[in-house]
Amino acid sequence: MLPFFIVLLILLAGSILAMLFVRRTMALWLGFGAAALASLIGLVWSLHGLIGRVHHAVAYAWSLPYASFSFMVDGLAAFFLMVIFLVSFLVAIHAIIYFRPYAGQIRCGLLMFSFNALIAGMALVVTAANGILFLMAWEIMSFAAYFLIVFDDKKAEIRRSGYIYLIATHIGTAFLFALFWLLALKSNGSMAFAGFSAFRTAGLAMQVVAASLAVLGFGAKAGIVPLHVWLPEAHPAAPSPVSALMSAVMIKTGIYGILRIYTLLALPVHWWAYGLIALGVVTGLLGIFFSMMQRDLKRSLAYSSIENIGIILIGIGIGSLGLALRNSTIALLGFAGALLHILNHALFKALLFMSAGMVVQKLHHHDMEKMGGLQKRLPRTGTLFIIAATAVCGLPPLNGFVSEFLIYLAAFSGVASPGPAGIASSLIVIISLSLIGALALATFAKIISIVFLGAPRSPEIESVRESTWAIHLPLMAIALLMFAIGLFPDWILRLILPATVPLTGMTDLETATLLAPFSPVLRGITVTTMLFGFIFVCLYHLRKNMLKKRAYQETETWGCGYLAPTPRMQYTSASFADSFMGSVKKAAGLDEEVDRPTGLFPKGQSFRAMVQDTFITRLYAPFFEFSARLLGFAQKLQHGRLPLYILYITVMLLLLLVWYGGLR
Amino acid sequence: MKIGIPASLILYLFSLMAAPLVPGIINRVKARFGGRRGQPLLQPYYDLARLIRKGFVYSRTTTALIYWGPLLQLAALGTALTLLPLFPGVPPLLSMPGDYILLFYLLALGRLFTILAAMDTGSAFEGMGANREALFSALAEPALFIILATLVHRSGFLSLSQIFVESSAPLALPGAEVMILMAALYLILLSENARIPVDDPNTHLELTMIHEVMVLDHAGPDLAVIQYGVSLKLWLFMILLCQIVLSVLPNLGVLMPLLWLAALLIITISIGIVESTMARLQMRRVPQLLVAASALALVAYIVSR
Amino acid sequence: MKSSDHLLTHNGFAFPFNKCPILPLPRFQEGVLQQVHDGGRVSALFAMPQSTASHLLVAVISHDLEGLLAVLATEAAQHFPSLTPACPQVHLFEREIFEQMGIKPRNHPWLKPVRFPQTPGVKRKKNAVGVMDFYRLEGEQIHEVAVGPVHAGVIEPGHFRFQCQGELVHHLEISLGYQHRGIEEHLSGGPWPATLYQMEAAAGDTSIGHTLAYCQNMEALSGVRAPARAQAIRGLALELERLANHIGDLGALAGDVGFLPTATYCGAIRGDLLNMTAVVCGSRLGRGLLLPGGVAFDLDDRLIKTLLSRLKKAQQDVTSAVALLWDSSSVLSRFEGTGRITQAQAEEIGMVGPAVRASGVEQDVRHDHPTGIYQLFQVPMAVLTQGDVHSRAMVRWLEIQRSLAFCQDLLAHLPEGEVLMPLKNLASWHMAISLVEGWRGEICHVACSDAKGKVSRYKIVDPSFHNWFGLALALRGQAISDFPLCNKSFNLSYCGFDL
Repeated sequence: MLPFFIVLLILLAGSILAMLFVRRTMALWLGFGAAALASLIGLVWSLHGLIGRVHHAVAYAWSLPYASFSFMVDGLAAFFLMVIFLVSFLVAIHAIIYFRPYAGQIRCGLLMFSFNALIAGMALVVTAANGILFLMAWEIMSFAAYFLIVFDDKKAEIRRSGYIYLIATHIGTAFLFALFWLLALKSNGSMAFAGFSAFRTAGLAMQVVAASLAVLGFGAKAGIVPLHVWLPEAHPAAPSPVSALMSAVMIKTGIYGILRIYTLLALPVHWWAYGLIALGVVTGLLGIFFSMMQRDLKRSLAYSSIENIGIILIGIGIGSLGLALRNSTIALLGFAGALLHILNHALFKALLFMSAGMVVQKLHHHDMEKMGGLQKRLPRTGTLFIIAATAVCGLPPLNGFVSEFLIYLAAFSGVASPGPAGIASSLIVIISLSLIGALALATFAKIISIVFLGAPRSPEIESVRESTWAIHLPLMAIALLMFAIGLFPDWILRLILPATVPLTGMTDLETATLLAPFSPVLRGITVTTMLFGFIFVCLYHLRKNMLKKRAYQETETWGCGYLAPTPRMQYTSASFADSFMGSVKKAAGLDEEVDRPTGLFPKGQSFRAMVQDTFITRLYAPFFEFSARLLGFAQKLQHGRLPLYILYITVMLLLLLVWYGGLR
Repeated sequence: MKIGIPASLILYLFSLMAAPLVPGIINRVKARFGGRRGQPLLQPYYDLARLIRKGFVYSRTTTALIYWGPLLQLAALGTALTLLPLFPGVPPLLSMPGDYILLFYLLALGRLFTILAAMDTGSAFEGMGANREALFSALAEPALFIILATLVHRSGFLSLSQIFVESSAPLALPGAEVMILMAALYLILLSENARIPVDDPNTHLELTMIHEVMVLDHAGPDLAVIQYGVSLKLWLFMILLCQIVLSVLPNLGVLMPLLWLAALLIITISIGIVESTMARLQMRRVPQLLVAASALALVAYIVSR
Repeated sequence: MKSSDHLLTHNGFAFPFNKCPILPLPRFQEGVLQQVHDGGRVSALFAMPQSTASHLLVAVISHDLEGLLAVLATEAAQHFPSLTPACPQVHLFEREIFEQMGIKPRNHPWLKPVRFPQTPGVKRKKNAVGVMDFYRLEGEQIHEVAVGPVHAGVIEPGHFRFQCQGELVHHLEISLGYQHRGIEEHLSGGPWPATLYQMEAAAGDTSIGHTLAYCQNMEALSGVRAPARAQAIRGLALELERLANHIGDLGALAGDVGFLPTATYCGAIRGDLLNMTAVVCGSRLGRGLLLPGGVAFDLDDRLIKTLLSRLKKAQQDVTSAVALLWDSSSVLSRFEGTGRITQAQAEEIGMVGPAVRASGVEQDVRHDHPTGIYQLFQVPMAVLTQGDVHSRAMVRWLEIQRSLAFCQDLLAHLPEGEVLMPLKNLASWHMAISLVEGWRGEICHVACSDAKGKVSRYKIVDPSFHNWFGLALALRGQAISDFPLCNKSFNLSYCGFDL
């Protein structure tokens, strides 16, 4: 475990140094450089653990009641560490250049402090083997994220987003307190994870309560619908590299929590599986649906993260279903698909947020309706975004396809297997995955088109120029990794196999044997995608040769010969989304301010469609309003009149006296 | 019956060559219904030859995506055809469990870049077409996957080649279920290939088009690639439908090639007849049709249990 | 209505211009409003130069129930208060007056170019037809679709600007003028040798309609009556023109919804009808058939027999072709409820022809202001109430059947006698008004002669001039993919508007 503590030390040193030298540009190198260095060491260490199947466990005493410094790194933790450190490493390098404009500002120091704290917090969360330690790490992570979100705290809406995040995350933490308390009850008050296995003997009701608390507590962090509302608020508010880190890895700690509890409990897997599939389907479908409706680029990406959490849950669900059906192939495929999707989503969402961040940094806003034509001006950023978007749609030959393929294959195996139990839920998984995939395709086709293609919708875009090569290097590395996973899924699956061990309850050997028949399948993907690439390259060169010999002409886009075309004659984000909402606009939370042209000769009408999350407007806002009214009477007691306050105190004292007297 | 790679390769090449004939036949059927003699059967080939000889014209607004779209779509279709068993009893060139997922996701990749190629021009027309394509194909996707799930469920196999080639009685579905399944697939075929009642491949009205308006700014060899891709895609769906049709029929041995051709011809002619006797749906009714296709497929799935 | 304020006349009559009182501007405007309020319809409103400083504004109001035409006149200098807010059907006339004569209608809500004429003195970028301020629904989320002037089909040029939210059209504005040739201006000082040919080409698919209106005016101004046989042949030609176009329209409507059988058959039958006109005069469009004073070609018995048998054949063909249309539920679901214009809207903006009859307004020049053969042979009026594409198609179908019956009836009872009377000199200082129910609706020609008996001002109002605005209104709140269908259901003329 020594390298792990060195990693934590470097992170700590980096944050302190960055604060000390905050006035210098060097601070960026100290802060983010330390983060990158630490992440790199951590990455190598976790990879070593994962490949070598090395398990670590250490424990040191702690004076805090019930607490101990106990850490454990099994396959699952090593996998999450790998994801965390991989993304942190790449984001940190990107951040060194990205935050250069803010160099020398105090808040930049705080940013780097929180950034490093966030990485450390996440690393601690996935390694902690004690409930109290876990909750401490969880809080470090949550607060670090809060300070990152409110980086630009001059703006009121950003402060508001920060509050929403803070409230949501602490409601989640409250559930986690309850969860650990419940788990500790069964293990004689011990908060050690090792002892929690005693809970396996608890009754069904207790199991259900514990599982629900875990889903509520961790789901709030992961962004499971309907606990997702902070996500689309926090991501647009935070600086883009921070969004990348949060969306790519931080929300996955919620998934880690669910998986960890899963390994600690012996759950009656049938209903656990159905529950997870249902949650996943709802989260995935609503996530992508809301993503389609957004006008804010980063908000749309945030909703897409919710969608991907849905896919991951579906994968875990179908894995659990495999366990329930005692079909280890389905179980293994489901869990492997879910875990691989965690890695994949971390990669392409980091890439999406970072490339979107470069756009936002140039334009100083995230409003897609004012973008357009950026591919011509930011060709590298645009290409990277398009690659990431292709991956997020789950399309070959990129990594997103592989994980979705595994989950699909698990579901199709369920469909093919005899017995009615899995047939219905497997079909639901297949239907929803295909619908989510198709909607994701439409959503990202929209985003790419509106942001990068066509003609600029606002004049300042004309002067936008691409940044230096260096800032793109970490992004290109991610793109390469994505292609590598997409083209050679066999290797990556072998890498993550140890992480499935704690989930399936099988041994290393068993999982390897089970997976063996799927190696040819994955190599089939390699061969097919290679063939696809080969055909494409052939066609590409054929066209290139033709281009040399033929006439070549450039002209305007066909506009029916009209003399004065304008950029308004392009599809807008709202128009593209409109047909997808069909007749459920109201229910979907679309608030249309239409001043319809009426009369024969209308003049000066306008249209504005605002999308608000239905769960905020229909669920949380009414709830909080209701609570506010309920607690309104308390406000009457607090009127600011001193004599009456003195009266309160006197009455209280009297009551205490009477009580005391009564006791006697 | 075990036929090796050469037969698969010959069928693959035959498909690549024969695909443009299908639109030619459909147009001929439509012409006959309208009391006209119609264009030559080989007209699609002449069109391709004419387009491929032309020069290149691009809008100044566009980027490389405008030609990446058609090329990726054609490459995706060319790869997808290697995964599909083209003839009863003959395995495809490539096969593995879950190959249909890869097949349709390759098509989806082609679709994404076709949409991007259309949107690249910054034209409201092409936006309109891309928008409709995105919506309708999104609604067609679940129906398609339910159909695949039904095939997998019935046969108990995970790959197309196992479903259609290795198992002796692939579906063994009673007549009614197969009919429902075929009806669902037929609707998807019409919708995915931009045929009436979803789209009208012959209309000149930009505002009502789906596929044709997406390629408004493509010309010359790029357009040839697109048109060829269109016929390959139609071919692919027809083969899938044909495989399901033939899987219910007994194996007739040497007569199989004739039966195969006859089935393909009947499907082609039926498309022509539908186009000759039906009006197009209103754009907002198309989703209902696609949901109906999903419902049909679902019925087939449930009944086939 | 005070009778001293206006002059009452009939369709196809001329009157000395000094009989028409020149009112002060306020009384003129009150008069127009009053007459419209009393059920009148503005058939024409135009300006004619009187002196260098002032213009004469002339309004022709049709009273369809009474079969009367009221003419009002006033003098206007630089500007006048716009009547459009109170009487929207004059909006385009006022824009036209401003464009042609420079007299500004004050407070006109939408004073935009009509035809973009290259007037000397007004500086505009060369060839900048169609470049103007379109109505704009503000907001970044709205996209505009700009269709035309070059269209995908072989149709005329025009620019359509849609304000769209996705597939939904919030507003459509139409800008024409690409084919402005200046036909009205060419006529001053005429009639010239070219005039008749210009009339035949005012709207190419309405050769007979426009030429007939012109011939009636010339005959009225010169006091000559065309012989009865000529009147009958003119009626036959007018109805054949209507038949060919209506049948073609039904075919095109079917084609627009992708319904092939009717589309192809109607296309062929339309050709048969055009060929019947060609049998009579050698031109499929009826060019050269009509002359002021009569017609250029007589029909002999053999020709009548041929026409009758061809008509019978066409009747059978078109009945079976169109029956397919009404029997196909997929077609009806596209037609019904699409592009609806209410009766109130249609009356407010002064629409004419089959389009207004589909919205429940009983109005047909052949019935209300009959001239020539229509005074003897009646054609029943076809009126429906829904005002949607289906109604407009069905009105056409009813008119096809009635025109077919009318033509056969007419051919069986053709009056005997001459077909051409020589034309005399035009009376000086006279005005003649001629209305003809072309296949698109009311064609209004107004001719004024000067002291030498030459044309001083010739005003042409094509039915499309009234109806384009109706199409724009019909599209509000519709799906943009239904625009071609709505457009075809109106099937308006671009060059008839542009002149």
